[in-house]
Amino acid sequence: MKKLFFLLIIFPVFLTSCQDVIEVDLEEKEPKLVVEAIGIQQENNNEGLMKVLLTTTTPFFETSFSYVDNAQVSVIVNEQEFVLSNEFSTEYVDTIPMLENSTYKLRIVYEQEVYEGETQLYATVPFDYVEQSTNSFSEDFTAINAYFTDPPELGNNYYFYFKAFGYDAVIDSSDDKLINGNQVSTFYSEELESGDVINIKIQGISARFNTYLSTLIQQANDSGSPFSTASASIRGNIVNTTTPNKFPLGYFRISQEFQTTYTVE
Amino acid sequence: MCKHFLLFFSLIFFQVGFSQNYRVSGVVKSTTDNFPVLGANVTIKSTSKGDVTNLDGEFSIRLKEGEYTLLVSYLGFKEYTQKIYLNKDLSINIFLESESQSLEEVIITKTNDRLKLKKPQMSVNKITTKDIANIPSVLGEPDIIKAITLLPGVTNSSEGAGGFHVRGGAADQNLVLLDGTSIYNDSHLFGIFSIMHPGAVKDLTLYKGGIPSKYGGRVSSVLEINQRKGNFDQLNIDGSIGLVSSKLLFEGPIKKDKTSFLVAGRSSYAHLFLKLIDNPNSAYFYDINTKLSHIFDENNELEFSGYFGRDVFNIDDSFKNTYGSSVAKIDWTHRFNSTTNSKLSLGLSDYYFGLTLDFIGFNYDSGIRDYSLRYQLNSKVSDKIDLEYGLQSNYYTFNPGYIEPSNENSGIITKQFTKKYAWQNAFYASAEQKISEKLTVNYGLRLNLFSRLGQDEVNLYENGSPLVFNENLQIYEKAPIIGTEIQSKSEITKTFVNVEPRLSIAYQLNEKSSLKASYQFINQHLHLISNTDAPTPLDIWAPSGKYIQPQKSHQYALGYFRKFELFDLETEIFYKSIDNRLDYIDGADLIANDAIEQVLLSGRARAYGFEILLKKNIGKFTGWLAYTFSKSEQQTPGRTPKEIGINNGNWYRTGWDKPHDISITGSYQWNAKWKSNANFVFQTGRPSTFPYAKYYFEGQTVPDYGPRNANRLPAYHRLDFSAIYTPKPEKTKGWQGEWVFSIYNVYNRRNAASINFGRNEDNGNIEAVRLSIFGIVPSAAYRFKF
Repeated sequence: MKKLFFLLIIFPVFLTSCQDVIEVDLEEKEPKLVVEAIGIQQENNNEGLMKVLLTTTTPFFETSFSYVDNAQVSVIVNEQEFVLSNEFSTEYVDTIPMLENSTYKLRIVYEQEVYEGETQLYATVPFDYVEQSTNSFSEDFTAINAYFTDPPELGNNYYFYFKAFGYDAVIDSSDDKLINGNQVSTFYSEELESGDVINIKIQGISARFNTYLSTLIQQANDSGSPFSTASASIRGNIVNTTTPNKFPLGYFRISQEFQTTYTVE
Repeated sequence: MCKHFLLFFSLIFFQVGFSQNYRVSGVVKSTTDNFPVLGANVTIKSTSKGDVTNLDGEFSIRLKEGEYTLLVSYLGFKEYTQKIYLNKDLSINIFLESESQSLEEVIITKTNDRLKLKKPQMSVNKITTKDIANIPSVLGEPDIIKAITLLPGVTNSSEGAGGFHVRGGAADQNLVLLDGTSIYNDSHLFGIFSIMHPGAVKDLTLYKGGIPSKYGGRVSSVLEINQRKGNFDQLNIDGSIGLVSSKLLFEGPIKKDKTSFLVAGRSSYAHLFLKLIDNPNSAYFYDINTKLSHIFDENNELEFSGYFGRDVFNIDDSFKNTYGSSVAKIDWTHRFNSTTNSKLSLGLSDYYFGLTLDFIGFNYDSGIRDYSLRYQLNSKVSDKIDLEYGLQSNYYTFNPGYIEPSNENSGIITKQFTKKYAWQNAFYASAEQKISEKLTVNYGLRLNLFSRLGQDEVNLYENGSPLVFNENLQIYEKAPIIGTEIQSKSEITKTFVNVEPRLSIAYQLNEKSSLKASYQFINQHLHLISNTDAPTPLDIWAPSGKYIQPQKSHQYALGYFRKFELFDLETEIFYKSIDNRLDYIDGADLIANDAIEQVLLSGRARAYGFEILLKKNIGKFTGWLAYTFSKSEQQTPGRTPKEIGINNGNWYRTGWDKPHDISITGSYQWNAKWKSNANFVFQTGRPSTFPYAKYYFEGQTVPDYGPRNANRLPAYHRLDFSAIYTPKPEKTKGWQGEWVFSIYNVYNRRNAASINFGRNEDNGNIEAVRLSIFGIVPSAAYRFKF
């Protein structure tokens, strides 16, 4: 919800204000391990794909990726260990069972250090319908509203994903404090044309991941302005059990997902 | 024994019999508006006796019996002389006539405020509206808050940001008083302009330290904004047409010499600020200041002050935002006799913020309301002791937010976030005592009682801790709410009792110089819940209570003051500590949150430094040079040794820590028609947090930031010029006009307001992008009067 409010901070964009790219000397530190570990349950399937992407931080202005391909990655659930493989892609993958109320453990061994994380499966709800409207910031924009119904009990958190051809994917997250139990729509708007196809996803997430992701999106998009919040290194839910001070970045989560597509009229 | 007694008695008699003293006292007022003149020099010709008038225009001189010539002088006014014969105490009222009939927005307030070496009050700066009108400003819009940031010890967090910071304090630690009533937001357009029509303001007084016991509730400063009284003699209309706004001011007598009014309005031009947006959208602000004064007789006076201002943004009816302050105040001043007077005040201050985002589907509003009552007495106990004492009572209601759906398709719920109520009572007394010819002391005490009244629901947590530390992940998390307590609004649920000593001492070293020292202890019970460096209009205020402790500040200051022939030198060093300063955990959601205690951590702050002010008020060239060296830091350690706090418990710079801060402002009167002004500002760059590295997560390019505020933006500096041209300076009646030409940021420096690290959406480059708010801004305005 907070992000909605921060929209209006964009407004004092001013007559003479201007932006330009400058050079800044930045201090560099030892690279940190970055973990993007996501298990997805499509609808109500019994099994889902577990993907773990391992990279390291790179100097800020460097454009290359720095993949980690020499780690051992496994996921443990119900006392069963699944060893993920990166034989066929840059990601470590395996199929794992999707179980409610079970603890999933992630274990990574990289350069003689052990990294661990814990989570469980977070369920969500499907979309009811999708419609388009012109109710947006600007007349040139088309808004795509995907409706879903929040369950009556409080405490649901959502992850949304929007992808239109030719545009970067947009991700967003929300809790249900201000919408609890109601039918409500996501908000996405772009300069879309008739015939454009939009892929929309909804996933169940934890309250912690909602906070994590909204902090991360804010720091990735709007930092340093007098109206932005203090920036800091963002801690996820994975720890380095060998050297606790060398904490990794990233997150480990298992989410139920529903998808839909919409063609702009 | 008896002999000694007799001798002693006869000595007194001798004294009385041969050298009897009489007192000549009185009040100096201005003929233009009947207002007391502060700082006028009252001297007795051919003697060394004299006095300077105080805030109420009063003076008092003791003389032997005889014939004298009384001289009263004050810059901008004709010298007044009167022959007096003293054979008893004499009381006279003196009216000074304005010297020039030039077109100044304020005629009476060119205070020749030379240093007052004997007064213990230190750490005070005063600016008149005339000074402000001379300072070159953005788009030619004279601005009261921007003007005070040119004073030593005062800064703002970045260009175009609202609020101001005094001696390293935060923006919510300033008590901003409009004719004695608090205002809770001081800017238009998110901080680009301040909320007051400068022409309606008589002067500003900023207390940075040694705050008198009549003020409390904010730990860093008090800014008194005094509105001008309407002219009791004749009708005046003043106006100006500028690039940003047009202003109009009417003032005059309703009944000559009895009742006067002043109404001043200002409105910006719609659409100016959002060039990217065309009709039917609008973005504008307006404000209205009013003052009504009525003199019943020489002992009774009634005044009404009012303010109303709003910012309005409306984009295609799907984004609507309105916010602003309203203030109403009534004062009754009563003079019991020549030594005692009283003032009874009733006030109301309201801040409202309203927002509609129809494409998301909600209406939201929040605000604060403050009802106040004050009764104050001032009395002169003797020639050596002045007393000031009174009581103050405030009742506050806090609306942290109300949300409702804005259309039928919206899934937003209707919810009133729990309103909060508080009642504050304070009793204060202070005495200014002349201990010897050289030593004057002002000592005071303020007893502050801040009570929280019951609210609908109070969240309860296990062990009373709304925030838990996850040791494994090394992060703070919200604790689960285990229940709620329902309270009655009429019950007092918690009371904070504070006793605050205040002390100021002045020791006059010689005719030209003095040393001053001060100490203050202040508690602050109203906290602006904001995790951004610059305050924003949607920030909410929260009272001290179960989960928020009052901010407690001690400040020590020492100063050396010296008068030179043409200028005054003020130097001060200060140290300030603040306990219970709030900070926020990473990812804290502060807006529309009914449990903000879950994201708050309490820490401390400190600031220290020295200030130099060189000021010239006399002659064709006037102006000042201010230099401040200071540090402002904050620390939020963990509550237990296992917790990491914020920034690993280390001290970090506040967002407005700028060690070096230089301001030079000057004004030169070339001839009757032309006057020019210049302004130069240099500041160490604002603290900022730069990344060590970068990583990718779920398609986002994320900077991995280092320690908080460990880096700095490049230094900030700029030069401004303005010229004021009065085509017919000799004209004193009918239409009188003048042109104001100004250039802001003459050498077009791209001062960084921020540096944003991230990925360019258009070309995918990883960049550091500098945002500069104002480049060179030339402007012209026309001011008129008839």
